[in-house]
This record gives sequence, C-alpha cells and structure tokens, in this order.
Amino acid sequence: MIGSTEYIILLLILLAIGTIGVIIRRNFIIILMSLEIMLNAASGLFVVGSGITGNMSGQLFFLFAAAVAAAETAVGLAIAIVIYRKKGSVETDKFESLRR
Amino acid sequence: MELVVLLILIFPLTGFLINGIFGRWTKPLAGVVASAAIVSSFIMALAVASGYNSLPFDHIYYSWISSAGFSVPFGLRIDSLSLTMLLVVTGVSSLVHIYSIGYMHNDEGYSRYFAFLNLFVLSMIILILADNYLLMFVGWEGVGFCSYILIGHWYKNPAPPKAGIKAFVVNRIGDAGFIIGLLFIFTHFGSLNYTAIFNNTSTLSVSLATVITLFLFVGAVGKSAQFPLYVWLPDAMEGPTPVSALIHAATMVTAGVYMVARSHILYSMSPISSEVVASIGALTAFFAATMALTHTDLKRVLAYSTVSQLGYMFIGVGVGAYWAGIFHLMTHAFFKGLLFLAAGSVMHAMDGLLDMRKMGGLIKKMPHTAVVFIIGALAISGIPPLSGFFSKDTILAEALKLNHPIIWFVGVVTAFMTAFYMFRLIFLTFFGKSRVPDEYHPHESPAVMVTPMWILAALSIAGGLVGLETAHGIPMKNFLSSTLGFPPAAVVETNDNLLMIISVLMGIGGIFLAWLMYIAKPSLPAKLANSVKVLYSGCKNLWWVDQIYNFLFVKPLWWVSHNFLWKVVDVKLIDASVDDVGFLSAFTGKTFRLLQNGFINSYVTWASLGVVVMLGWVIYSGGIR
Amino acid sequence: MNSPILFYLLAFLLIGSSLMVVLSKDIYRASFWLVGFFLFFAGLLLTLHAPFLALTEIIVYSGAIAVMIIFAVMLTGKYANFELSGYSIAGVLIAAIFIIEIMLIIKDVPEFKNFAFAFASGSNARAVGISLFSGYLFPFEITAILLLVALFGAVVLAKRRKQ
Repeated sequence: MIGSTEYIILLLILLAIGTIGVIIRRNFIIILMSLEIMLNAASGLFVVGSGITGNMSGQLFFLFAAAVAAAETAVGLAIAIVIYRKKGSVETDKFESLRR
Repeated sequence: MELVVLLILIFPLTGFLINGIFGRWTKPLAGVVASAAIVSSFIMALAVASGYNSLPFDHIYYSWISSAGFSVPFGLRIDSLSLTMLLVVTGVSSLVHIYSIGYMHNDEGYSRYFAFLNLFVLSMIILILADNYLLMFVGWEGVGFCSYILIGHWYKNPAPPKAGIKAFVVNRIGDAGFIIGLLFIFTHFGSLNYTAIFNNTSTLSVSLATVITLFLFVGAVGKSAQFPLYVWLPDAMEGPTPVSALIHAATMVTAGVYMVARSHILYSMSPISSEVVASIGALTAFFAATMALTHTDLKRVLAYSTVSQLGYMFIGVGVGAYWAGIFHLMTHAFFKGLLFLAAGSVMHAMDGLLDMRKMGGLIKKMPHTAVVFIIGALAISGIPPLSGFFSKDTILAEALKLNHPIIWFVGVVTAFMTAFYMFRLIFLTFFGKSRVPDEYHPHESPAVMVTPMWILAALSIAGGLVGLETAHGIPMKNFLSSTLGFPPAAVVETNDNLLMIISVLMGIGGIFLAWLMYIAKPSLPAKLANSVKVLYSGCKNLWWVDQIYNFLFVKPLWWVSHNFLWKVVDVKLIDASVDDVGFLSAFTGKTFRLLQNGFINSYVTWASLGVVVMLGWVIYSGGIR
Repeated sequence: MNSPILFYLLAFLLIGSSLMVVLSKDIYRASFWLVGFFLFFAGLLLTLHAPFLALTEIIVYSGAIAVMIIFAVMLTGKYANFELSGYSIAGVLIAAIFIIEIMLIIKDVPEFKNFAFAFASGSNARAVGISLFSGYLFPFEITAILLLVALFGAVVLAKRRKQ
C-alpha cells in the first residue's frame, strides 16, 4: 500500500530538484522551467492534502495554482524576450543592471 | 455641544495647517485665512457661552495615554472659569489677528507669522479647556514654543532670536517646577484629572499641598513673568507688536494666574503657599512699576507694566479672592491689549522707532491712536468707570479685607506709580512739542488696524461693568464663583467707599504728577533725578537684575558649558560615539552590499537557505506536533 | 489505481525527467523533457483520484505552458552554454538538507503514516465544479482578472517600442 508519506516525499524531492535548477542554471528559460517543476510539486501537495482530508479545497487550489503559473510564465517569458532583445542573451549574469 | 467645543480647537488647527503647509501660495490671503479661523473659533465659543446653563461641560473625546495605572484622556472641560478665559482669548485673538493683517502687511514671513499665531491660539485653547493637568501642560508648552518662535520672528536681526532663547530658557526653569508639581500630584492621587484630584483633597496633608502648590507656582512664576523670573518678558518685546499684545500681555502670560485659579482648591488648603503667591505678586507689582518709571522705550514700559499688573492678579489669587484675579485678568487683557496695539500703531507710523524722547505731539498726526491710548491708560490707572478701576479696586479691597494690609499698601502705591508712568508715556508721546526727527512722517494707521483698537477701547471702558454691585451681588463674582467658590468672609471691617476714594485719588495723583513733570514744568524730571541719584539710577538700570543674573548664573554656566560640556563631554564623548556609530553602519553597509550582487541565482540561494534555517528551527523546537 | 508498482514507476519517471530538465545542456531537449514531466505528473494525479486535475495538467501545462516555453526558446534560444552558476554546490547542499529536514519533520506525524486516502465518491469533475462555483466563486473571478492582467502585461512588455 502506498500512503501519503510516499507521495509527500516524492513531491518534496521534485521541489528540491526544481530549487536546484533555479540555483545552479544561468539560462533564464531553464530557470523558468525549473520554477514550473517547483510549482507543480507544491500544488501536488495540495492534492495529496485533499486526499488526506477528503475535502475538495486542495484540488481547487491546484487549479488556482495552475492559473497563476500560466500568468507567471507569460510575464516571465515576455521579460526573457525583452532582455534577449536588449542584451542578446538570456544568461542571468547579464541582468545585473538594477544593481547600479 | 461636543462638536461645537471640538470645533473651537479645529478652526485654529485648520488655519495653522493651511498657512503652515500652503503658506507659499496662500501668502496674500494668509491673514484673512488666519483671522477667519480665529473669528469662527470665537463664534463657536459664543455658541458655547449661550448654552452655559448646561455647564460644567466635561467630555472625554478619546483616550490619549492609557497604560497600567496611568491614563490620560483627551478631555475638554468648560466651566465658568474656562469659559471666561475662552471668550477673552478667542475674542482678543480675533481682534489682534485682524489688526495684524494691517500691521504685518508687507512682511516677508507673513504666512509663517499667521500660521504660528494660529498655533498659539490652538495651544492656548488646549491649555484653557484641558480637563487634566497633563493636557494643560501640552498647551502650556505649546504656547511657550509659539511665543519663542514669534519673539524670534525677525530672525535676521541679532536681537530677536536671542530674546526668544532667553524667554524659552527662563520658561524652562518654571516648567521644571511645574512638572515636579505634577509628579507630586500624580504620586499622591494616581491621576491628573481635575475632578479626580479636587474631589479627593481630603486625603491630602497640608504639608504635601504646600509642596505641590509651591512647585506649581514656580511654573506660574516662569510663565507669568513674576519676580525673579520676569526677565524674559521685557526682552520679548523684540517680537512683532501684535504678538506682544496677544501673547505677552493679554493671554499667554496670564496662564500662570489661570493655573493657580484652576488649582484653587489646593491653594486654599495651604496658607503658606497662598501667602507666597500674594507676596510675590505684590513684590513684582511694586518692583516692575519702579522699573517702568524711567524707561524711555515705549514697548518696554508697557512690558514692565504688564509684569506689574500680573503681580496684581497674583495678589488677587493669593489672598483667596480668585474671582478678582480672573476679573483683573479679563480687564487687563482688554486694556493692555489695547495699549500694545496702540503702541504698535505708533511704531507703525514711526517706522519702528520706540524711543519716547523722539516723539511728542503725535495726537495731531494720529488722533485715533492717541484717543484709544488715553482710554487704555485711564483704564489701567484705575479711573472710574473704566474697567481697570473695578478689577484693581476689587483686588485691593479684598486684600485688605482678608487681612493683608501691607500688600494692600504696596498695591496702592503701585497704583499711583502705574498712573504716573502711563501718563508720563502719554504726555511724552502724544502731547507737548514734536521732537520727531525730520526723516519720520507719522501718519494714522489704516482702518484694519484702527477698528480692532476701537473695539478693545469699548471693551476697556465697559468691560468692568460686570463687576458692578447689583441687587443680586456682583454678576462676575457670582458667575466665576460657581467654579472658584466664594472668597472667605472678610476678617477686617473696611469702609468700601473710603477705599474706593483712596485708589481713585492715587490714580488722579499719578496723572497730575506726570502732567506737572512733563507738561507744566519739563525741567523738573532732571532736577529730581539728580536729587535722588541712587534711586533714579536703580530704576534706570532696572535694579541691575540682568547684570546680577548674568554674573551669578549665566557666566558660570557658560564657563562650565565651554570648558567641560563642550570640550570634554561633547567632543570626546558624544561626537566620538556618534562617529563610531556612523562608522559601524557604513561598515555593515559595505559588508551587506556584497549580498546585493544582482545575480538571481544568488538571491534564490539565500532565500532557500532561509527556508532551510526556518525548518531547522522547527525541528529544533520539537517538530510540528 | 493504487498499486505500488505504478507509483514507483511514476516516481522514477518524474525524478528522471525533472533532472533532465535541470541538467540538460540543450534548451530544446530540456523543454521536451518538461513536456514529459507534465505528462507523468498527470499520471501521478490520476493515481491520486483526481482525473479532472490530470486533464487540466495535460491541457494547461503540457498544452499551453510548454508551448509558450518552446516559443520563447525559439525566439531567444540557440544553445545554452552549460555553465553552472557559482552557487551549484550550495544549491545542492541546501536541497539535500531541505529534504532531510522535511523527512525528519513528517516522520513523527501519525496522520501521514500509511494513511489511506479518503476520496469522495462519484464524479470528480462534478465535485470540483460544484465547489468551484459555490464556495470559491469569488477567487475564481479574481483569477480571471489576474490572467487578463498578465496577458496585458506580457503584451506591453514584449511589444517593440518605437525608437
């Protein structure tokens, strides 16, 4: 029998992998993809919670998270395109202009 | 009623905010805005007065300070005492504001002047209407601050800021005493509310009451310019004349008298304190009058006269006739305000010249000013039926009745001197041959200045009639005594008519002597000065009080400040520690700046590190169970 | 649908595909592994008795979002040089500590231990719809506005400005 513990640990591992991606990669698009992995893992935890309590709210939160993820991706990619247009690259070490 | 009372405060506040914040744009209208605010406030005060049957009014608007064992509400109290003060303050302020429109019309700091004048009125109203000592203290400090600012209004000249600082520092000495008095009250009663204190005086021992009232009186001495802390008031004349009229004659300086009257229950418990108050009052009245005798500066004569008249008020509240002190406060506000405004009108005409020796014959050039000045002088000299006669005579009669014959005698002599120096001033300024230098062209002031003076003149004439004996007693006495209680029964049998005749004779004698010395025989003053040289130079040099203070307090303080406080404490301790703090923040700033390196990866790393640390804390503190 | 073999297979595929996304040199390849990840995740949702969400996952993520990402890769793309940032070791360490900490925390919670899922009977889509349009109507409308704003934001950002 697979219980909720296994699901939670699997989703947390996915979350950790997403975090590693955000930290180690320098390509902005890859960072966005890693963010999607993190978001999926986190909202998956809601669904597990929904299964534990038998309450539909967790599943609904997955839906809302999906909507927010779509919005975030759209804006993030638009930013990537703008930066690419200005700098000719989407490497994160190019976006330090706000530092000064 | 609650709203109307609050509006009395809100109007000056609005005026202050408008002129203070938008002063640059409202400049041409600043005077109108400020005057409108104060006049509205006055109208609200009248509205409150019209419903005075429902007095005393006491309402807590919100809880200002509230902590364990200590709560101070923002509460306003209106009874017959504060209503009288409120009407006097808002009324005289309205007139002075209107007068200022003309007097200050091409001043650089026009809107600043009006902003602070409004703030002053606001503070004064808070002082008067507060229903506890702490809120009163807020107003007390507020008027002190505005007084300081307004004395130093012409801050580009060297003298006004110095005078402002002097006023501030001397007032602080008094305020320290006031605070100590408040702390004594608080430790005994556990509250600073008037009602809470005055209803529980049975628990107070006479010695503690004496201590409290003496400390409170130190505050009153500072604020009301009594001996030995009067020195700031003559210097305060460096400020604009309407300020002198409003703050340093009619309202602020009377705050001390108001405070003593407000605490009358405490004062009447302590015979020693009352005696001290009356004696200091008498001493100041006499002493300041001698200083006014020989001065040639128009405004300073009036300033010493103010100090002297304040002395009378303290005689009144000191001997136990609280209502008489407040009555004199009211009439004094009318005629001294009037005298100052008229002096300002002279100053306006003479381009700021104040030396009486260079005036004379001005009655032809400025008839209105001269006439109202004479009305004011007659009132202060106690000539019936002008207002000063009633109030001053009441105070002196009460002093004698309540067994203070020495104080009575001093008061009568002072009344004689008062009449003399006021009419000396009038004869030198308005009568005789003109000694005006050719470059000055005196002229009558505009209507916006003359009208308020005439209104005050009318009040100076008629304002004393509320002190007239009627079939139901004296109306003013009955009105005020609902708050202040009736004065104790007379212990000495007196002939009221005789007393009245004596004071009138003193006034007329003073006027006659002034006429003799300055109109009939102008050579007399110099001869007299020579024959009593010591007395003359004492008066002339103000009894060297400033010099004595300078030697005793200012010089040593300056030495300590310079050699110890500045060179050791300031440079070695304060500056050095401030420098170190600055270095520390610059250093930490430089270090933490390395974190802000602009790389997304680095930010995410630190953020996730934060999550890990927080989870570590959760485990450390025993998990989520 | 709750068999251990299926779960471990999906776990293997999910971890593998996400690692491929994170570690791949080629952005095209990474984006296709991402599509794979979304599909496997939909499978995981099915094992959680959430078929409606599984379909949503396929349509929204592997349909819309993945396509958007692939477009962006084509617009900016070429090949990403696989140069790790200076925080790689720290990142891996943090992730490892994170997982260990979470395991330490949940191991003591009895509710999580081999807990049998309690699922509502009947149609999942119907249940989702009923709660979405009864208790969560307002957040649902707000989400619509959020998406609209994001749409405008993306358009404004990506639009070429006149020089």
